[in-house]
Amino acid sequence: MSLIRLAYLYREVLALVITTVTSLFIFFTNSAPAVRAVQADLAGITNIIFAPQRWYRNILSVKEENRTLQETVVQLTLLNAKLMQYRTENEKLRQMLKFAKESRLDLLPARIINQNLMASVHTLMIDVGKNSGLHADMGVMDVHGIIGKIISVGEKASEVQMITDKNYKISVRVGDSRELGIFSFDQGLLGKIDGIRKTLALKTGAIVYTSGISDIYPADIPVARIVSTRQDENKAFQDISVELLADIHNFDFVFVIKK
Amino acid sequence: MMLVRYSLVFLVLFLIQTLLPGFYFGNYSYKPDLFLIFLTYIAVHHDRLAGTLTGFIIGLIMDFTTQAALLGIYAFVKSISGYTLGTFHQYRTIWTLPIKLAFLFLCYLLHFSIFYYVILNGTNATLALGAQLVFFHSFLTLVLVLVSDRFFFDFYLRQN
Repeated sequence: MSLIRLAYLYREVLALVITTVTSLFIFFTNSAPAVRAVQADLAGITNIIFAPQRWYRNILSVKEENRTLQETVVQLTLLNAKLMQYRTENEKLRQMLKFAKESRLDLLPARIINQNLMASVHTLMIDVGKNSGLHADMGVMDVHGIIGKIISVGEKASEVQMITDKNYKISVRVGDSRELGIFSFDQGLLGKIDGIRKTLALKTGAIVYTSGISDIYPADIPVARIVSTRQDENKAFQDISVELLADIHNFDFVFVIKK
Repeated sequence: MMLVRYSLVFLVLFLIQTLLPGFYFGNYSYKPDLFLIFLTYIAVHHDRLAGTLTGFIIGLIMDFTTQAALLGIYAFVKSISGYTLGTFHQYRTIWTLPIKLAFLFLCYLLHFSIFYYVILNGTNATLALGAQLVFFHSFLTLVLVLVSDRFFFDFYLRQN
């Protein structure tokens, strides 16, 4: 059956469709409020008619959407963790910057690139070396206190012997009379001070400072805090237990004491 | 010849429709739609095609001569009315008078319902007012068709 024949057979319906479509086209080209109101009503009806279709499409897309959202959640969680890390780092750097500005010492900031606590000598590596004017036997500290000293220097990195090493000793001063003693590490965060006479009265919580006798450390840099003291009749000196001030378990940056 | 005759009748109706004052019932003015009566005559004497095309042309003329804001609304309602009234032609020898009157009344209800829905949409008019306007205009048109059939033109109302 040809198209013309079909059109002739359904000429009445065809005429109705053409005339109504034409008149509606003319009608909807107007911008009168009544036309807009009719358009709004038609949009509402269309919305209702196509609601099942949208529901069906939503069902189909939920699985894919869920997968995408899960991926996004993982990515955002990772990003959040990274940002939290940046925030902590930023706070530390701000604290260090403030400390470096206020300190009377000439300090060179350095980043920890490796830490070795399992070897016989407790060491860590920092990212500055000869190119920054470093040499062996320079003191290293954080914002709280002494951390160690440089024992070997490369072009762009240096090795630091940590205060927690068994062979590490520092000449310190304690008490109001600034009596000389020797600090050595014990375990955990604790160390001991040797060579302090028993008659010297010490307060718990008092800070122990570097003596300034050696060429490595300038005087009056905080080292530790007195935790307890004990006098033993069989010993010539009193037993002084101290706690390290430096945050040796949680640091990313340190300062090299240049002078 | 028939086309010329219809055109002349349309022109006369156009003049009457333009000059005819509306009458008030309550707070609202009612004016008979003479073009709808003319369309009824064309549709019942010919078929749906003639009714649809005549309705469209009459509607377009009304659109361009009576208002510009809702251009196309008359063409739309008159096209649909022409099609529905054209159905009358197919059953003019089968239906009884009450069925014919009921059908015409339903066609007019459809016509005025669409028209007043668009006209009153977005205004403060209530549904009751809309229904009142639609009913009275439909009734008025049907009465005029009955009068015309009795005294002036044959609408096939009494023929079986």
